[in-house]
Amino acid sequence: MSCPICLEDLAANDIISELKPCNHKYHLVCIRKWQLDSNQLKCPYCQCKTGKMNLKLNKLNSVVRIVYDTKKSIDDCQICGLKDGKIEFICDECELGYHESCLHDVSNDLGMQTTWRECINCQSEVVHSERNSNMRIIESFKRLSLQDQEEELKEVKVRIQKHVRNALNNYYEAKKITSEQFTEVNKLVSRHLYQISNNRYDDQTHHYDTLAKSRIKMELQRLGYAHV
Amino acid sequence: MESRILKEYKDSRSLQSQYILALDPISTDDLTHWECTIKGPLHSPFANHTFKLRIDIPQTYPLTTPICKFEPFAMPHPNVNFETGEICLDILDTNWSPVFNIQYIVEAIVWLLNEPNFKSPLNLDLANLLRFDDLKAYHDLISYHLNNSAK
Amino acid sequence: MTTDHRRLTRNGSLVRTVGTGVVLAIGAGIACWYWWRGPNASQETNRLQQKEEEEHRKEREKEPSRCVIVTKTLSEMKDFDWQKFLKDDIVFIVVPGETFLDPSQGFEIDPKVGYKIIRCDTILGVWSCVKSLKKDSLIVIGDEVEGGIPDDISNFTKNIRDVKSKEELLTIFPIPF
Repeated sequence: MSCPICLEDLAANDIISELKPCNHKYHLVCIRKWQLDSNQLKCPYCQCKTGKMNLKLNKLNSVVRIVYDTKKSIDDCQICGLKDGKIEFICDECELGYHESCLHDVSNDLGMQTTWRECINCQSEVVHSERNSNMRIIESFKRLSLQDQEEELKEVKVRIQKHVRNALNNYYEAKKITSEQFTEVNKLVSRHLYQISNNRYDDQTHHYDTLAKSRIKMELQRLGYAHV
Repeated sequence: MESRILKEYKDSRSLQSQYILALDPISTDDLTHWECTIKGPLHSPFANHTFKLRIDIPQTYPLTTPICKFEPFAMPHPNVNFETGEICLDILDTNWSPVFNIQYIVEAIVWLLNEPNFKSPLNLDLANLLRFDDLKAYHDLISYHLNNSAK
Repeated sequence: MTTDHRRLTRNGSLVRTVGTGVVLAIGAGIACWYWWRGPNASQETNRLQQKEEEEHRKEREKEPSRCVIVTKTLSEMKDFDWQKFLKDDIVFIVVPGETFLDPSQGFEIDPKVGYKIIRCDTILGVWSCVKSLKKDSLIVIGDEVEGGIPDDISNFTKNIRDVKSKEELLTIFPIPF
C-alpha cells in the first residue's frame, strides 16, 4: 500500500496515520503538511470530516496505536493527551509536543530506556520546548483548531437564528415592528438562545420555536415595540 | 515533490485512455512542464476534434494544484477563457486534494467538456446559451469556433 | 645641411607616412561604419515600411467579416444562391422559427463551410452568438427581430447595418450572373 499524497510505500518503519472515521491511511508527515497547508481537516481521499487519527508505528516489532486528536494543538502532550501547558519537549519534524515523563514511560514500555528523547512518530530527537524553532507552526495549529471551532459556531448560530427569524417574521409581516426593531430583537433573542443551549444546536432538548416565540414576546413588551 | 512526479511520469508511460491521446513532459529533463493531447468526448460538440493542454507543476505540488490551460483561441467552452485558455474547474481551485494526480485532472477536464457549468462562466456568451437552454445555438456556435480556429 | 635635410626629409617622410596611415585608417573606419551601420539601418527601415504597406494593402483587400441575422425576408429567398457567400468570412445566424439552407428542404451544403450557419432556438441565443463572434459588421433586418436590436450590440460589432427592405438587402448580396 502507498500513501496517496507522496505515492511512496506505507512501509513498516513509517509512521502511518489512519484517519477516523474513514480509515484512510497516509504518512503522518504528509497528512499533517496538507492539513496545515490547506487549513482543513477533511480526508483528501474521501472528503469526509475527520476528527481523530490512529497513529501506527513499528518499534521492535511492537505496534503502538495512539488515538490522536487531529484538532489537538501542539501544546497537548501527544502521549497522555493532557493540555496542562507543561509541554517540555517538541519534535521539530512533525510538530508534536510531549511531557518528559510521558516520553520516559513510553521508552520504558518499549524497553528502550536510553532513547527516550525520540519523537514517537518520526524517531528524530525532540528538543526542549524553550529551544523549539517551530513557533510559526505551533501558531498555525492553534489557528487551525480555532477556525474549525468558529465555523461550527457559525453554523449553530445560523440554525438557531432561523427559528428566531421565523417567529419574528409574523410580527414584521403584520407591520407590527419595523425592520430596525426586527434586527434588534433578533439579536437579543438569538443571543439568549445560544446561551441556554450552550453554543450548540440541540433541538432534542430545546424546542427552539416555542422558546423563540416566548422570548420575542418578552423582549417586545420590555422594549415597548408592540403590544402582544 | 520530485519523487512523486517521477512516479507519475513512470505511470503515464503505460497510460491507456480513450480520450487522452498523449500525456508527456515537454522535456524529460524537467518534469514540471507537461503537454497533453485530448480527444473531444463523443456526443459532445467537441467530438472529432483534438485539443492541446499545457500543465505546469508548481514546486509545492501536490499540496497545491497544477496550472492547466488550453491553447489560446482553441477551446470554446463556458468554463474556459477563449482568449487565454484558462480553465475554471473546482478541483483545480478550492476542491483540490493532494490525492489527485495529473491524469485525474486531465480526465476531469475531458469530463468538463461534456458537463459544462454555466454558474461559473469564463465564456459568458456560451454560458448564456446554456442558461437560455438554447442547445441548438450552443452546439452550432461551438462548432463555428472550432472549425474557424482550425483554419 | 645634408644631415639636417636628410633628417628633415626623414622626419617629413615619417610625418607623411604616419599622416597617410591615420587618414587611411579613419577613412577605412568611416567606410566600414557606413558599410556596417548605414546600409543595414536603411535596409531595416525599408523592410519595415514595405511590411507595413503590405499589411495595409492586405487590410484593404481583406473583406470585412460579416454576421448576418436570418429573419423572415432572408429565409423566404429560397431561390437565392446563398451558398456562394458561404465562402466569405461570414456567419448566418438563423432566428427561431425560420429556416435557412435546411438539409431537410433538400439543400446540399459543402461540409467545409456548413459550420457558418448557426441555428438558434431563442432570440436571446441569437444575440449571445453575435456577441461571441465579434464580426466587423452585422447585417440585420431590425424590424423583423423580436424585441429589435439590443443597445449593447454596438459594443461587440463595429458596424451595424439595419436593413429596411429586400431591395437594400440585394445591394449587399448582389445577384450572381
